[in-house]
Amino acid sequence: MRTVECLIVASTEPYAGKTGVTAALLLEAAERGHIAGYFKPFGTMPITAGDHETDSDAAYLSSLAALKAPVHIVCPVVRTHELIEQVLAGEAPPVIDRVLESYGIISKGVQVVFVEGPSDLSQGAVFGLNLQRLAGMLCGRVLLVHRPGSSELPEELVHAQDVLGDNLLGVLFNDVSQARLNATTTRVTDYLRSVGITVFGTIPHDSALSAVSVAEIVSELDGVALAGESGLEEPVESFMVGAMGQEKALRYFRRRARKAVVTGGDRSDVQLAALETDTRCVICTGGMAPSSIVLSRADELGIPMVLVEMDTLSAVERMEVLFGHVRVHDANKVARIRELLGAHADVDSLFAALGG
Amino acid sequence: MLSGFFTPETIAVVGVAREPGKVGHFVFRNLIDGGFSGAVWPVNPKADQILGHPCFASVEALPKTPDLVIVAVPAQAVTEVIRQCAVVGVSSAIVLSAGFKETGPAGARLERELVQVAAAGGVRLLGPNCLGLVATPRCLNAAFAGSLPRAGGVAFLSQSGALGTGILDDSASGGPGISYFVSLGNRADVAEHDLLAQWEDDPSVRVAAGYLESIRDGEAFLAAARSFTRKRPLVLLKAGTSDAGARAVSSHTGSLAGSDVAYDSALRDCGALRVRTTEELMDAALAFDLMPIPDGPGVALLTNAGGLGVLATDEAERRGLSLASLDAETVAALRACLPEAAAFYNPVDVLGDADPQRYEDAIRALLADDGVHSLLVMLTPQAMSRPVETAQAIIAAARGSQVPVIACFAGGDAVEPARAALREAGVACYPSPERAVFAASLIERYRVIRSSRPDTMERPMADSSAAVAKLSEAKRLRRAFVTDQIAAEVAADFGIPVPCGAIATDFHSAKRIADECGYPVALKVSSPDILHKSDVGGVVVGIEDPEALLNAYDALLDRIRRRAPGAAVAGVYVQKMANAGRELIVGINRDATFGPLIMVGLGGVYVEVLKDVTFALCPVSPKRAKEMLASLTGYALLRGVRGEQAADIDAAADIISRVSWMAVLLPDVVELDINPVIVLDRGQGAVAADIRIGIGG
Repeated sequence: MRTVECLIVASTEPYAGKTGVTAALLLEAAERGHIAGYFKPFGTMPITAGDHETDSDAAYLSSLAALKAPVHIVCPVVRTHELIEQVLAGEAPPVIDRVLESYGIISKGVQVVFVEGPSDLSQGAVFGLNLQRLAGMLCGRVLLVHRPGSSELPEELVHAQDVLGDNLLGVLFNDVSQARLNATTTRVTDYLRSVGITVFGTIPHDSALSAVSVAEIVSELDGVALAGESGLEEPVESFMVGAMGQEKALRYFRRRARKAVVTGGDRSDVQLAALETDTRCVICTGGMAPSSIVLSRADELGIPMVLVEMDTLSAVERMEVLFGHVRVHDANKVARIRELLGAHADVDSLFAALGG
Repeated sequence: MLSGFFTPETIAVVGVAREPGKVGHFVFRNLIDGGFSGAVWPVNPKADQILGHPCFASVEALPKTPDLVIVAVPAQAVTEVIRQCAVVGVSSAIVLSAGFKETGPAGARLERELVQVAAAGGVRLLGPNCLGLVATPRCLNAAFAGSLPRAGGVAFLSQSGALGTGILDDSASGGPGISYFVSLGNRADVAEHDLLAQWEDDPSVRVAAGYLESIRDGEAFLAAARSFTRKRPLVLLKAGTSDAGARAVSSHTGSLAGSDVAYDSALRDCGALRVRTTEELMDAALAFDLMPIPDGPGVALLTNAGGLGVLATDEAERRGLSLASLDAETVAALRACLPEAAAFYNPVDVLGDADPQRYEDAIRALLADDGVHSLLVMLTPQAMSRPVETAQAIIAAARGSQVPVIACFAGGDAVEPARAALREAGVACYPSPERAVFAASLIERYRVIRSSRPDTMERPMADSSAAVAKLSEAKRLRRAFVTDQIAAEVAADFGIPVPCGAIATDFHSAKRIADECGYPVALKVSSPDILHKSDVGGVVVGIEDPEALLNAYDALLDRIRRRAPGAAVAGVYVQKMANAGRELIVGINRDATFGPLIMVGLGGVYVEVLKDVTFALCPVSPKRAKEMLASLTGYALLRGVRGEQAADIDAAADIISRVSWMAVLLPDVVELDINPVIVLDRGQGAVAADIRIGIGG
């Protein structure tokens, strides 16, 4: 590896899996004996760490990889509400110097820096930190993590190639559904290679990665677990709503495993049907506590019954947001991403392309 | 065995309070007042004597090990009592105490601990949270209810203790006589199947009757009930059949009410008779308690009122009873004893002025007819009627006869003494012709059940591992439904004929598949995101040649892009079209209590509009599958109407049987629909044209 290599892991749309891939590559580099650093120039998930505002993904990765640099150096600019107000008032503070200064600290003494870049080609543009400019500024090369959407043609990737030119190192397909897997690994990959875009691999959809824990659901819905607390750490992969009769509910609930069921607190019939099938928690809405005997059954099965004050519709809206924005702040998930990368991506070529 | 519960010699009641009004005291008094002849020992460390009986400090302090222990201490103390029971070798305990799983998780944990301690110590438990039991042969009233009911042959089990108290009271007021009454409570250990096993050879049981909201263990129940009903009738009232009722069951007993068709199928399968109301339950219990089972189907009706006769005839017809055709000799005998204006054929009308002798003569004539296997005798109190004497005449004529004689005395106060006399003499009597015919029809149904032979089941294939592996792979990929191709392959593994077909990922492969399978073909979009393909234009049928295939292929994918944007399309399933035939729908669903259930119906509008479907527990034999087909309202369409050839019913039945085995041998299948099964003309077979298999991934 040359002095300092910079790999910017970016994507064409949010929630494509950048953070997970960055985390996996960071650990992989360490295992390969490289001295690696991690940098996130522009954070969008503000949290407070000590006296500083920083980004939650950056904070998690810092702790995961036991990085020495302070978190506010790892992520020097965070899109806080205050910053947005400043920008809109025409008082945007200069951030480029801060980014370069922090990057200088991070890149000191390391062989490679993994930069968690923007989630699309335009993010950070207001501050001059969009992907194209960032790549030029840091002399970095870009790995695009791409989750194929409804479009059958890889237009975003060809566009990115136009914009990034030689700075585009290649593409990693992520979270590809079984139905699209075959077409992605054959026809789409062949096409991209024919136009000069390197494809490092295709990671299939993995339900465990899109799961959230029961405890996260309880927290998100401001709920209380009334029974089955032993199941709070279980991963939930999807959710279903139950408002039908028991017989239909049973048939419907059997269609999905490892799910949460949202239903009224007074619907003991639906709750029992949920408990009978592969269910990880039952969310009882409307502030109505389920009957004692249903709680008994749930407790016996170790399935949390979560009482929430909001109505079913509001709970469903919150669940949709939660499941659509799953974070990878979980060492097991990162380990799983490494496994998937090992099995479905050419990690050796990726490191070779970086020069090491 | 549960003999400790029903034939104890010694009983201890733990938790007998000194003062009346407490459960333990009440039950102890009931034991004494009921006339139980064995020893009864109250256990209360704080009392010396209760109701004249010396008290003991604990179970371990009793003079000897009791056969039965009744526990009425607070829930927290019950486990310790059972532990002591285990130490001294008690085999049976009734836990009346509440405060277990019905109260929430803490109570449920207490119940689990109780069950563990009892099981480890070899103690069988009835309850907890129950009313106790009654055994009239031993004058044993170990229930927190009223006085001992009238003795009789009905063994009654109830998941609702309170409903049971109503039944006991009804028995005491002229209802059916009770041999045993058991309140099941939380069914932590002893459940309905244990009781059926206990009662099937008990000579004091003529019929078992029960009120259930759910069945704890479907498989064990079916086995016990099949064995029981070969010897004695079993009548069950299953509650919670509506959506709202199911909700009530769920919060009452914490169990799934279960699907009504599953209960129907399961109870029919095990030979149990299902009733819909408490009145029917009591009417059935009364009939089976008092009446012998007839030797044949022929029912004769005898009345003193034309109207009653017509109503009874209508009801008999509606319930599928066969009205006996009377012998010429019988008619002659009736002519000899009845006035000229009487009706001498079935229903026999002895006219409104009939006196007791006329009734007796007519009854004797009818009972002498070999074609009369049961007899319904009806009366309304008319000006010249003498109900009580007529009742005596009926009793005299029926005495010693092996033909069941059921009475119907319609009316009020005028006939009540006559009804009482009939009940006293062991003749079942009902206040309306409909209820009397209902009782007769249940007796006839049980006759048929007892005389039928169990169906033989032959597994259609030795090895299902290939199919299991295919589904496991799909499950690993977290698919909720397998692809059309996998579904067809799995069905073919079970010997079910399926049309030639495969998934195409582009037009060239589609054309190759069509060439191999032969035209005409159908195209079906294959996408895990599209459950109802036809709704989004994802199915094209009747494609006759390659040119039409190209057009249809492109048009189909364009439609999907438009109507289901974002759906991940794995390809297009290209399938040879079956020849036209009659269409069936065959489906599988899994019931929480009884496992897989197969549904069979005529396809198309018959299933959608007319709901002409029938259900059975899996597996079904080809013979049973044919019976299912024959029970469909539209069965004539399969047999052929207006000169049409009959369909290949044997081939259809073979597919139904094989599908039922798929449900049994492939536990990953949570739902399965074949719509349609195309049944060709006789001798030409049947084919499963469209198969959908859900695996709940």
